[in-house]
Amino acid sequence: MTMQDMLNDPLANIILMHADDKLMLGHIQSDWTGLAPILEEDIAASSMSQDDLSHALVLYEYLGKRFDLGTDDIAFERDAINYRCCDLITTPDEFDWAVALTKRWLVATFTALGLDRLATIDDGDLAARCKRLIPEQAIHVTHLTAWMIRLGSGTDESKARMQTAVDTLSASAGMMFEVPESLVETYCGRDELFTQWHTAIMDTLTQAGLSATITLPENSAVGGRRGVHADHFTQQQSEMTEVRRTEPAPAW
Amino acid sequence: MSKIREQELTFGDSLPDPTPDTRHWAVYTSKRDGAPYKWAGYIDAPDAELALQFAREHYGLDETCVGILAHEHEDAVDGEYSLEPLPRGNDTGADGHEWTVFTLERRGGNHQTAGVVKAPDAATAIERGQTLFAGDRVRSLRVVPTDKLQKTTAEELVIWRLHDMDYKLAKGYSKIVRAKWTKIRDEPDYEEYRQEDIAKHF
Repeated sequence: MTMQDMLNDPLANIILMHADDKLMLGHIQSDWTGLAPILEEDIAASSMSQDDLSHALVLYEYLGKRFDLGTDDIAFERDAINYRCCDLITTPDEFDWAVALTKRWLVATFTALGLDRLATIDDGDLAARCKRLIPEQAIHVTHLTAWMIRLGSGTDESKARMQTAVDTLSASAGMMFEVPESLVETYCGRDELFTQWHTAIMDTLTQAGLSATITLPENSAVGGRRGVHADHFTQQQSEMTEVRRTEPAPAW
Repeated sequence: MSKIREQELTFGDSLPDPTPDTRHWAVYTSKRDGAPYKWAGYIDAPDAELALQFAREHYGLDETCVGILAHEHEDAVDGEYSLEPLPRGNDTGADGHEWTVFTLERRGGNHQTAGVVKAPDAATAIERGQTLFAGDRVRSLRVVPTDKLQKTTAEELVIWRLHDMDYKLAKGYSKIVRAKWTKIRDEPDYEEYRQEDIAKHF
């Protein structure tokens, strides 16, 4: 089995979508450690970043076993074109907490639905892994949703800042539903998944007094999920893999 | 901090004012089903829901944790601290509303849940708590109206994570950690580093 076998495998591509989203999200959001608006949220946000990295590891381990690859090789040894994360993840937040929070909430809600689906696949190991991650993902969604509602329905300033963040990200939120090349013919239920996600998002936005227009991209849309990444992704990916490239196969 | 992102970071002339919207909450954690809730620390939160969420991340991940209990600091009434173990009380009344009783065994120690009493006010709750829960080691009691307690359990939403959390349990310079370090550094260099690190932090 080779890395290419994994990259050609439809199910592996779905798993990589979520695992790569989480790897990059955990990497980027950990930049907020020490900077979040209040100490308690700083700790919670850092904890969620750790979770995201750990969740990526759990999924990479599954792929590693199935394709006889090293976990670190999957996480760090791929070229940028072979990462399946969407570029919403690495869209800069300019250290604006409203943008960081909204982005994380959009992605966490999507991932929660994705893990639910993966858990139903007829593969005991994968299902067991997803069933461990689902309750943890629920913590993220619960926490982030609580903040979306509080900040959206808080003061005039907080509402305005949250609406600006939602406006900034809603144009690219559909990226999460881009389809990897190997899944163009086989990816079922994308419309249904989008409807589920959109309903959940709109429900929270309504409670928060916020609004957004988010559309499902065409099946043929080309972006991060097909390896066509923006500069902000390649910069982050390059930095994230720097140690690995400097010191190949380090052991800890 | 990512070097890329470091460049984005700018501070104004001064940091923003602290939020006036948070209150102090006392947090207690329980390590296993049926075990008492033991004082863990304080957090600041604007309301009960976020208090529990913050407590979960702040205190629920230090060690295995199956339950979190929190109350606003101002809802607690502490009895006097006694240098000797508190004597058993003799008030066995059961009128009034329910209070949860916490015991303290030494000054600076951790309060932990002992049980509940019914009483019309805090002073009476402490007296009745002394009847039920004073013992050889208890030096002080704390009471909190039970309806002021906020509680979360692992059944509602997990606290201690289900993925491999061993990295959270790393403690000091154990043999395992030392072995890993000495693979990277020579033993004398490692020892020098260790001494410096201990001197710096302890």
